[in-house]
Amino acid sequence: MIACSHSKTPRARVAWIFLATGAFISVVLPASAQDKQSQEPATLPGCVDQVRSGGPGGTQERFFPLPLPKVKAAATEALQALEFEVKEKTNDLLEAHKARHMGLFVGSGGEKVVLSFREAEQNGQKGTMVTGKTKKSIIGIVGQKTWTSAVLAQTACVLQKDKQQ
Amino acid sequence: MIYRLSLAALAVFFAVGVSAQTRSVVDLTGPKLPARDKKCEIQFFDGKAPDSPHEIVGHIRVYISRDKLASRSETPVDRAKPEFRKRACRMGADAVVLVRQTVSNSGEFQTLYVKGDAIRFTK
Repeated sequence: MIACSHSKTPRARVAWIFLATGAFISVVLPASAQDKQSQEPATLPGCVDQVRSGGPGGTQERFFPLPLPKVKAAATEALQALEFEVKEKTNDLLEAHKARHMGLFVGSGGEKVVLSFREAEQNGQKGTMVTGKTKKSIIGIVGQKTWTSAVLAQTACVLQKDKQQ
Repeated sequence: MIYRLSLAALAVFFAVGVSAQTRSVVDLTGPKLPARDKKCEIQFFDGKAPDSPHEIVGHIRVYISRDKLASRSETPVDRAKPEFRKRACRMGADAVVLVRQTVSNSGEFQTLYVKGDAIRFTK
């Protein structure tokens, strides 16, 4: 408003109004339009998150009481559903890159998720242990998120849905 | 100068925000069929494949992303159907079975993912 009072021409005043509106949108809308939950990567509705994590940014592990090929296929499906392009590095390693989106303010995408699979046994039950980690890139880091929990939860959902069908 | 920059910023705001970005990926699994007409008729089945004999020609994955700051309304699944139709016609399929859908949120973006099996009736 102080700047506005110094503006001499109507054009300059209009310009300041535009800028003020832009600033208002950039500050107020992100906070009001998105609740906290929607700011984090979300899984399928109705899926229970049972993630055993070592911290949101760290390496996370999850055991699935199913054979490795089945779990790997479900993880691939989960990654694809979350808009990752999946590359199979080796038989027990998946690397996936999230598609980038140019946004109005920070955009999103560019994260890399690495999942490794190994046959394991837990409580006398044979299955597959999946270890995952999200790596963020320097470009666009502001809009990037940690996806490991979402991917593991989504994998569980896919396996659950396949079992129901 | 500021006036022009402000107008340009607003134009970018609306151009990026209002338009939802649609993209699709196709995985061919069955026989390669001749493409049908661009606007061919495609039947849609929700979740369950029809009882009539058919074979799966391929899988189609459609992603529709929208900027939540510019567009408040959720993207309905029907918005993905034109993209499915376009891809299915190109694959020579008769119908699409919508098998899976997911909505994911990341920052200011929300992405609707719909997966469908493109099928061809064998009788």
